[in-house]
Amino acid sequence: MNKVLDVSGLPSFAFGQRSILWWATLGMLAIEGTAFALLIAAYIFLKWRVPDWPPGFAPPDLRWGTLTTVIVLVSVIPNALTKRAAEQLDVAKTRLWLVVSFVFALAFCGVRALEFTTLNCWWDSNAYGSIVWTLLGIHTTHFVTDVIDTGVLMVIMFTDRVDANRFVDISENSFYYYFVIFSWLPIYAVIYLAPRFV
Amino acid sequence: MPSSISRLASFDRPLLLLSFLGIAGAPLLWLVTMQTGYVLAYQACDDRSKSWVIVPTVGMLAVVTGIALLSARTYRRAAAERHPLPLLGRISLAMALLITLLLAASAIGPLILHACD
Repeated sequence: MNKVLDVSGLPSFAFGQRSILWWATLGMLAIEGTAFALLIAAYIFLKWRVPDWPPGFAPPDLRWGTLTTVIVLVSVIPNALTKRAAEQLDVAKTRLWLVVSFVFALAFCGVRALEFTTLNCWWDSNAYGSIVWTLLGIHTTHFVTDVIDTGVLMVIMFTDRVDANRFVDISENSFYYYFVIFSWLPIYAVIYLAPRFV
Repeated sequence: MPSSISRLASFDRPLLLLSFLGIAGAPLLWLVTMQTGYVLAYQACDDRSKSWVIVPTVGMLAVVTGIALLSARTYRRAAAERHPLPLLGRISLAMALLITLLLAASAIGPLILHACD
């Protein structure tokens, strides 16, 4: 018996759970979320072992860390609008909100650079310094990756190379950006609030 | 950062930079390769030529292989240095080898698929 399935009627692209890319992104988020959780666990472990925390240093200054938190939380809005515009295949709005999202991301990168200067410790000072720099460094790596991805997608959107699959990519990029934003909140709490209030 | 914050040790700076070449440079190359491939896929399809994707990928693979070899040398040199250079040397080598493997795996796709797939 011939068991050939005709799939020519299926759409060539899809958003959300109907897209294989969405599941791939979800898998990646699971892996990266686990990595963040392990780093936070390492921080908590060290904190339990040391009665005087942070050991030998003042806690990181709140100013830049809090500002980056505000920037990423506000950037949820253009990110959501980018995702929505992409899923509506609206070229003009997608271009607009991608640019706005990109500007927010660049602002974040600038403030993040300042954040590293006010941690009040070096990466090689002691175990506390290492875990704080690693937490912030790993999160920054994720963010910079997303900035580059957003930049490339933005440039492509301003060419004549736009097709439906690019909108899927933009939608998935926005999905990933949510992860980068919301993974920052526990990291912010650990780096900035735990040394002061826990 | 206040200048009163002391650091544990002053390291062999070139060795430290070489260690971070594997730790940060190799993954960055992978990211650049992915984005380059993503953009050049259009041109490859237009020209019906996979060279647009294969040549940059192979080029990057050569560069990251160079980084892996450099990391192997760094690893040997760092082993005799003070903490944390030996650890950084090990991470650098492991990262460079992993990225070399990933880039080699990434090169398989363009070799098998057609330019417009």
